[in-house]
Amino acid sequence: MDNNKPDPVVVQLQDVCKSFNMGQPNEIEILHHINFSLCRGEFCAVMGPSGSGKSTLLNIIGLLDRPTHGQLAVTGEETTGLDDQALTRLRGHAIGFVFQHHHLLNAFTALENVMMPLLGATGFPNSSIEARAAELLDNVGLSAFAHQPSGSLSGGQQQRVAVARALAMNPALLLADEPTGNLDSKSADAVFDLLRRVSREQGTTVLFVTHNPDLAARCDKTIQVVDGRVI
Amino acid sequence: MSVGDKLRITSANGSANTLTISGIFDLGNKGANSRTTLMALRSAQSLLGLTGGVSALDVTVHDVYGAETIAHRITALTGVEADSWIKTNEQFFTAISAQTTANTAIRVFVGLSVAFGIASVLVVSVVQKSREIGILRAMGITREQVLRIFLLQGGLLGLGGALAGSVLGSAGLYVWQQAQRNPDGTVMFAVSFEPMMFAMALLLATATGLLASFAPALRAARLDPVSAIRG
Repeated sequence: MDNNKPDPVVVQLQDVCKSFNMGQPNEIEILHHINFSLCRGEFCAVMGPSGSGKSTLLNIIGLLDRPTHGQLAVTGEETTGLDDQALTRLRGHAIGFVFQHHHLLNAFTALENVMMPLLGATGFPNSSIEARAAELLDNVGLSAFAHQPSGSLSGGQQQRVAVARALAMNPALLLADEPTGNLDSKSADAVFDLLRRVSREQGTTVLFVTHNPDLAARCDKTIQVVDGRVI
Repeated sequence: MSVGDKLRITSANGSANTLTISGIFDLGNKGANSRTTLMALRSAQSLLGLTGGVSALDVTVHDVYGAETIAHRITALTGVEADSWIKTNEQFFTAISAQTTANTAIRVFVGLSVAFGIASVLVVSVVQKSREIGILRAMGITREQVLRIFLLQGGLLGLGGALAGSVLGSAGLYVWQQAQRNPDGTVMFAVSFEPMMFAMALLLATATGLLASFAPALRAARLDPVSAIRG
């Protein structure tokens, strides 16, 4: 990489606010004037107490929800004026999600779960999709479990499959909402190390919500969200 | 009796003739079979003492339900008394009409019950799978793709049900036909399996499935991914 050239900004929030029940007596603002940006390959922890707005922030950055005020750019594309179809397209190509619960589709094998985002993009299964999914599973150390039903895997393995699935479209941004929250410390470390390695090797920007200060300390930077404000 | 046997026929006026059986036919009805004999016109005229004449002329028409109108036209054109099968078999025709009406009503209600059955299955499916739908939406699956998934499911349910129903119905009808026989061993009811009827049934059931699944599919497509994932 050219050291004189700054890393491109992958996500940028400018004065982002989010309110619920707009125009009603019980209107409430959850996020207040959030400003920050993340560059390519940055590994950022998001910390804060429950109910502080972390998940809402992640949903907005992940284009699952819209801010009520402010601007959000993902991979350089301003998202404020985009319609649902354009947001879905951008989300599918630029953003990967890993949730606290793995949310794998238990009716399918580990390989088929990883193939899902690729199938959504192409419409039909083919050998290149399968090869890509197999490569991703190999990358997370689960190639031996590729054809096992996802429900039969351990919690740590399922979360690693979820990471492989999130990386299927080679996203610029990976949003991980407490991905280690339901895991024992050994599995949590394995998942964290996996995300760290992916970020380093592929230049993926990772926004990692956690309550664990030890894991946060191992990230490039930490954002604290308290009462809907980044401090 | 078999082809080649001699048969002596005596008419009501006492004249008789010995004829050779040249063929045996089946009209599909025991009563009709027992009272019908076909012979050369001259032999019949000689037997009945109607040299050069006939007692009645049967006319076959393409539109069986237009027979009454055609009979009126024949009478108007020739002055000959013409009776349609509808008039001469008034009770039978009324029974056929009633049966047709009953069949249509049964088909409509079967169609409605199929539609409601498929719709209720899919509504439950959408509710049960809302989290999976949310995950797929987060992965970049568009609303249109979600809509297509559930429409496809509805169509396949209709098609699968029609296939199973056709096979089971045909088998049941065949068994019943074999079990219900006349004392002489002939089948009591002639049943014909028409490929076009099966094709129409499959098409109608698939279309019903597609229509019935539209509302649940729309509901699935409109699910808010954030609420769906949160459950």
